[in-house]
Amino acid sequence: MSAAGARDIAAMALRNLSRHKAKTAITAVAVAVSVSLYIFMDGWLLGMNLDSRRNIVSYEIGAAKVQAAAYFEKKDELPMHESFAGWKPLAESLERAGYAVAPRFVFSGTLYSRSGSAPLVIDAVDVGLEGRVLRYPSSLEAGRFPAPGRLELAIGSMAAEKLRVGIPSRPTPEELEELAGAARDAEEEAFVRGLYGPAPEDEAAAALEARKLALKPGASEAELARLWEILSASGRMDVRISTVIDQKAEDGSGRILHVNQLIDASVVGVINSPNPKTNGNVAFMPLDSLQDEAGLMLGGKVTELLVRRSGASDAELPGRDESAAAVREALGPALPPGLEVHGWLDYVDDYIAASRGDQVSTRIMILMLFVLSFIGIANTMLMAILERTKETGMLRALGMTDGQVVAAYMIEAACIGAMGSLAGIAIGCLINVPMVAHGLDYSAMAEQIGGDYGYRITALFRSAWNPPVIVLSGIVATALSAAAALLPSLRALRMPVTESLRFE
Amino acid sequence: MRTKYFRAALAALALASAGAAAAAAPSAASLLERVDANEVYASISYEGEMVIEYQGKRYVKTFAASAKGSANSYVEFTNPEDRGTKYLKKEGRLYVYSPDAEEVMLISGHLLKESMMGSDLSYEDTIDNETLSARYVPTLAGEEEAGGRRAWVLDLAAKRRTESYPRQKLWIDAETGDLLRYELYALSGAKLKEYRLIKAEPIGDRRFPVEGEMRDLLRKGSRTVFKMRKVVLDAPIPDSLFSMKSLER
Repeated sequence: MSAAGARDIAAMALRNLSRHKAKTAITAVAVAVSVSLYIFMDGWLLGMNLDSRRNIVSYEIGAAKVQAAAYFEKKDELPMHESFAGWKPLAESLERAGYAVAPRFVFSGTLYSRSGSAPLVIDAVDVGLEGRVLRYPSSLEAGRFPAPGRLELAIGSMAAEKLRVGIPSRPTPEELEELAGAARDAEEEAFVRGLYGPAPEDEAAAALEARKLALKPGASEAELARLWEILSASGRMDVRISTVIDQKAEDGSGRILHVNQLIDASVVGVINSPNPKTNGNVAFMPLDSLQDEAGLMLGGKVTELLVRRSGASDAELPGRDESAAAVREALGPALPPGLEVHGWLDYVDDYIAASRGDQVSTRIMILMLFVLSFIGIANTMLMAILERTKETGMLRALGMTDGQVVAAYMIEAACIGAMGSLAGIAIGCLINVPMVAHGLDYSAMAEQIGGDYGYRITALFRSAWNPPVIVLSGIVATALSAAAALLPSLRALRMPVTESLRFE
Repeated sequence: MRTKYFRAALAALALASAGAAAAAAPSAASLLERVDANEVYASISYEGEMVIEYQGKRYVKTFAASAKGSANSYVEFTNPEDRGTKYLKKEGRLYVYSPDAEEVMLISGHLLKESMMGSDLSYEDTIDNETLSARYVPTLAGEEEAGGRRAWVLDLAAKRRTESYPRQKLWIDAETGDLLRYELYALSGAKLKEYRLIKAEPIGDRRFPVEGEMRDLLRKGSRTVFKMRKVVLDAPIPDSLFSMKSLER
């Protein structure tokens, strides 16, 4: 086909578009909806995954962990008897190679407060080193991080609320009475009461029995520190950790022996980081406070070393130089037999399962939308081609080849697709702008399910820009629209020219 | 002069009393051996009942139990709510079969200290049948009254750092040798549990505790009364009872 011929066919296709404005517009809208939804959902999923991955690395795991092979095999059971000693030479080797290292001893127990109890995972951490690898120690909702050598805890905000320790942000009137009861004199009581007022959304329903109060938003750090001190002096922050120290029998039989332990401690801080795993039923306490018989008789043992490249940016995910292989290489012969290095992805099966599940279900949903849109286009083109059967016969009688006729209809459909795609890209991007900047607040949902839903996002589910997908979705939608015209036009061409001319 | 004689008489009386008391006070080791002789068995079969009172509610659990030495035990619950739930301790491992899940689970690690069937007894408490003499060093801490009975008080310190309860305190009936009361302590020295004997019965040549009350001090307002009926001690029990087949049957 000559360039002039192609131009004529394209011009004819465009003229046909304007002949059926309503159908063109409706079909283009269907394409636009599909494209914009795809862009929105893809951006949202990408944003959730990027934020989750960054939060896992920056607040939960680091880039890699060094653990005993036997521990890694049973890591979900937190087998404290598979701990290892002599971690300092390993940390020194890694630090010389440019890594930051934080030792931990992870164990489970039940935390008893004055008001209740809850099962907790407790991370005993080196207070000085933990902040070099992870960022949660600075994500304190109230109080401070535990001091080295003391039996102190920082606990997740959800656990704090459940156990009624820390400073409640939205107490019931009964809880406020309990807080006021902690005051040592009338002035302190007035101070405590003065920090709380009706929760904004409950003002209208103040008469309701279940109404809630809220901590005044203007409360200063000094006021909160004073409130913490008053509540702490009343015993509200005193807790007991009930746990079992699992140790291998010294007779070499492999038997695991269990020693009951009850540790008196006090809560000194409440963690509320962007990663819900640090805010749930979890507590952090100084590793050096658990070394003797008042603690867990650790004798210098740890269950894991967290590793991250020194000075790594929180915004970036671990690169090749932070992979398990790179850490292993950096350790070289310093890595004793029985210890292994695993990358961060080996510890987040729940996140990977949630992410994969969402990717599949969302993409199936979007695919269905696409299918519906293109059934619409195929239907529109079928009707248009049927209406123009006589016209098609005329064009063929005048010498247009079958290929030229098909091309004319496909260009027409592609134009509808292109218009819809452009509109869809524009709408999708417009939706994405506030989604990237502000996101959707799912904090209530996260709180309801205890932060245990796979993704490591506490409140704002933000989208991210994905330019290749945005461009590709437009191209694919246009190509599919063109393809949608193929079958109806081939069907029209099966009719002999003479019959087409007589078609009414 | 009279005063001098009176003082001398008092001193002689005091010496005589001290001598008599010293003669009456048994050694800590022998007291503990007496407890072991009463309470540790080669084998046992009985029908049991646990009455659990917790958070204002009362639950009754009935079961049939058999045990052999300290290595093997088998418990099957018979009350309607838990019928078919079975526990098997074999070679130091504790397994539970749940009829709802139709699955056998291994109870290990920290789960061993969890409450068994909602009672004040932990899984570990229920599978313990080793002599205290082998595991603890006893010290006679004095004489007190316990439950209206004159009792010797023993302080037990674990011989190994890996003992489940590193310290125990026992009140032993001075007359019968019954273990009237005991307290279990954590490694930190904090008291975890209290036991009180309600009833002991003569079985063969020993006095065996058939009813007692346990309180887990971490569970506020909770207590469990443990009763044993139809107790048969040291009779042969086939090894086949302590098998996974029994658990899954």
